[in-house]
Amino acid sequence: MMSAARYIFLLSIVFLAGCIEQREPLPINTRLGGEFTLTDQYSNAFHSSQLEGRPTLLFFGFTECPDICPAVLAQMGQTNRAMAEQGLANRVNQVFITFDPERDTPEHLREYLPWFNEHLIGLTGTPDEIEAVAAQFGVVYLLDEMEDGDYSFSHSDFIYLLDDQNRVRKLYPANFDPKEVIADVKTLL
Amino acid sequence: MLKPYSKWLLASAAFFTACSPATTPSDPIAIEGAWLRAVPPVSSSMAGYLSLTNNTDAAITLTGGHAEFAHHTMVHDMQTQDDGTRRMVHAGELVIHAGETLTLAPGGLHVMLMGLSDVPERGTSPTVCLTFAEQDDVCIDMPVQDSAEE
Repeated sequence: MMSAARYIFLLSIVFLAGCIEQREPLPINTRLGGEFTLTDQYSNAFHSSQLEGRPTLLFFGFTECPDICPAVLAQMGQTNRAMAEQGLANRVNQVFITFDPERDTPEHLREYLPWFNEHLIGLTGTPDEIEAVAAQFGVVYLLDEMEDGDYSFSHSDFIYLLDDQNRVRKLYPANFDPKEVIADVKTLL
Repeated sequence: MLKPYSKWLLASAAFFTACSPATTPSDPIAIEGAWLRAVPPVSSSMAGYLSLTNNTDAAITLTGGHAEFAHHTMVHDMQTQDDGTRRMVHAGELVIHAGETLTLAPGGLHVMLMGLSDVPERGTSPTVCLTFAEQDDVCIDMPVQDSAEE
């Protein structure tokens, strides 16, 4: 005959198991992603395998973008600070890939990106290299000629969450919620 | 008859008002919630946002803007295309009918300041002037911050 105390203990375990939030594992997107080699902000060749071992937040943009791109980068910086507060500092890669290699040289990325987050990895390359990587991630970008001879880009603006094996696990909109991202990242750690 | 110190107080108030461009809700063109998105010092452009209410009884046309620290200033819009991409386009002239409010917010219409000679820092409030077809410029201080919520 089970004692009352043991019965209550077992009941507590069952109750506790029900209270713990069960998160579904993030699905693996097999259609997007893959290996790539670009050039980082120190002009070194950067292979995607260097990201393995940690989750990665990845965003495609260009530094001349005044609206969406700095907003996303600022939000990624905020996410990074929030993760640091939760003891997750430096456990997630944050990567920015430009589709404007003409203006976003390694030197310019080196000057621009740390303002948002000193740990941001900035990647550039030849137009063909960037086009290939963008296609791997389903990124659409189109050159827009401006009236004064300058140019801008129309572009998709998703943020990609990769796991520690560089597999795409989730896409976020530009106005993502850092709390959602952090919760998802924790499932991949 | 105003006492001498009251005159000085009034003069000071007028002085500070003149040196701190701003509008009030009852002004013919009232601007609220104006801010510039902070960007790195190496940036050549930045975006500004605000709400503009036409309190007159006639339509007004926003044609653009100017600022001492920018080579040129225009109003741009972000449009979502059929393929899901977001495209920045020159908004051209924007008509604001009597009593209407035009909102420039992230992801949509925004003041685009380009060719920055000096990138304003977070915490500063540089002056930006909006130009209209029917009337004089309206100049406002736009605080530089990371988001509208600051």
